[in-house]
Amino acid sequence: MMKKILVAALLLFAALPVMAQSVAPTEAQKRRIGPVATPEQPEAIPLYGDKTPGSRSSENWIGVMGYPVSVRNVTRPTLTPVLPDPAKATGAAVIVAPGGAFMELSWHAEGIAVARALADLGIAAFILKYRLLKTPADEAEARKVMMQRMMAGVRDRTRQPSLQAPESTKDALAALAMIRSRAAEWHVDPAKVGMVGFSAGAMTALNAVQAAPAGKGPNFFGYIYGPQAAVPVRADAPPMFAAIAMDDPLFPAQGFPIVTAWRAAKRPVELHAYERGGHGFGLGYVNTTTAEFMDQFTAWMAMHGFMTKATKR
Amino acid sequence: MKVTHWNLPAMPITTAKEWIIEMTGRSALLGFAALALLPSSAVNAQPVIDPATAAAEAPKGSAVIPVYGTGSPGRPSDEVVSKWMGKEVVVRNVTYPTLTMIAPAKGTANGTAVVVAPGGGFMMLAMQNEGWRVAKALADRGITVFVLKYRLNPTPPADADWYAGMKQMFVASQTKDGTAPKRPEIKDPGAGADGIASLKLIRSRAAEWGIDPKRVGMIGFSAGAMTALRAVLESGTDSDPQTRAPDFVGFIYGPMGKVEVPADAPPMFVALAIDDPLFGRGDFSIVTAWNSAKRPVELHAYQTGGHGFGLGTPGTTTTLMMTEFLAWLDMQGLLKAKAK
Repeated sequence: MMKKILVAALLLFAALPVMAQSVAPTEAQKRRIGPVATPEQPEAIPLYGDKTPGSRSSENWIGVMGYPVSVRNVTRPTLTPVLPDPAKATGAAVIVAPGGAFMELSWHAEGIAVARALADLGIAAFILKYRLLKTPADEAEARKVMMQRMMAGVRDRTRQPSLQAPESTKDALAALAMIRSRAAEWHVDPAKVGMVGFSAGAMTALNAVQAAPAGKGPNFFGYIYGPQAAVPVRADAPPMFAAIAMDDPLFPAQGFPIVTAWRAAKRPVELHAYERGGHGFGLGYVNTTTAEFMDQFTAWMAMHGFMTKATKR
Repeated sequence: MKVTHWNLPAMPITTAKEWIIEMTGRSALLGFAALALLPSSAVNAQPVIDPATAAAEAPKGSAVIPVYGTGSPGRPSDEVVSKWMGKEVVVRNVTYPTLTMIAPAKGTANGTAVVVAPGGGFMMLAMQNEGWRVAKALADRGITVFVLKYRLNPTPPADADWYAGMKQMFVASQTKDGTAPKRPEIKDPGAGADGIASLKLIRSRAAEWGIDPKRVGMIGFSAGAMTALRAVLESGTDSDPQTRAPDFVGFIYGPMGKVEVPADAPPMFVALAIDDPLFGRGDFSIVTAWNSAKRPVELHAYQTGGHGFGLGTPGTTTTLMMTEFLAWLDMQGLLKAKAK
């Protein structure tokens, strides 16, 4: 079990989902993974305008063959819009929160790739670069620290992990506020602003749901391989779409208490638990049922009427 | 009849296996549940039967095979075809169990066979919604399908009498003080045995039908799901390859209670709606049990769909069920023809 978790953790931290078909990277692949320069990202909007804290210079990026796939030490939170073809726009918006144990963001696999898939379907996607816990700049040293912290942080699986990053919740709420305030500009219906989060990003979405003042939270959210422990469910909790793999080594499926809690509170909830997929399947693996995740999520959004244009523009 | 929000009583039986054992005993408690086990239109506000996609009858030319050959119990003439709620074609009073074989188009067969077990509270079979329609979807993907007409408990032959009887049962189950309703009894109709015998029959004639005897599975809906589960729990695990459990199982809106999972239990695909008035109580114990036994299992729990959505209630995510089941079969390698 422990070994499985370690393998998963390595995969998670190495931001390998882009090549996750293989269980472990080959030597050749490892050599192609390494630090890369911080990308410019001119399209990223600082979350708090002039008051946005931090600096891009704190970031440590990892690339695969030079292409940036993950980032650590985010101190300056931003929102990156990935907008649909206006002809296809549905008016729905989804904030994409990548995972990485609050110490990294799986920027490509759980950010850009997801945002593009959503935009292709007419959904305005916004990748949230939320603030992370500080880790050593040195890659090898960082991995060690991250592993320790994560293992300690998920020890008690009857509760939500103790590993948390409160700033990430604030950033998610700020992102929701920003999208609603600029809804007209982005052709978004302010009543159709949701979130989808992966792993620590799922926790971020959940935390935003729990912490938001009434009416300010996401209108719906996707909770993708998040912890399964039950939480108190507020009376106005938004519809939840949960997806996880039955063989997830990090959050093993011992029932789905969070889904049961949502249902017990009479709040809308849907669950897809795939036979295989491990932790970090992102948009899914070819030839496995995880590949259906995006279809299922958007079908669920459509069922709620989030994909139907309310008014003509 | 709006029953989507029925407040179902807590069942006194804790596990699905126990429940099944109860049912096979003489005085099982299916309960109030019997009514909710009825097909789709009983518990869904929206009609799900579209005659364009759900044939009322077996395709022309399909072979009907008695499950027990010449030693078959019952008589085909006992059967009554009814229209449940005036719409959906159902069969009642089955005493002579049969398999209707629906072969895929020539040249498309992949060697996989699936027994389709419709539901209907063991008092009817939802042949249209959970039989022929399902068969078509599977045969279109190269699967050789066998729709199982398993034995049922007797009901009055005339529809009017049948409805009256059910109404009476419903009324009798109500208590004046609003406490848990009394449960009518249900007798073993022999459905589980028919399921097991079907698998044996198909495997014994596998070569003749171009089927791989190691790729014979089942998909069951509601009471049919219970029938499929029984085939898993009660099939022989001995060396006789023909009495083996199904090689894979689709468990569609069956009871979610915990079961003791055999060490060699087949991969299972579970689907139900979270608002199922009968089984959607936020309990997924059977899935957890499968997973804890380290047996492959997949779950799709739809936000809404009630009980009896068949191939899906339009406008809801339940319409993805068959796509998801086929993708899962494909992942197991069951949709590709085996290399010769």
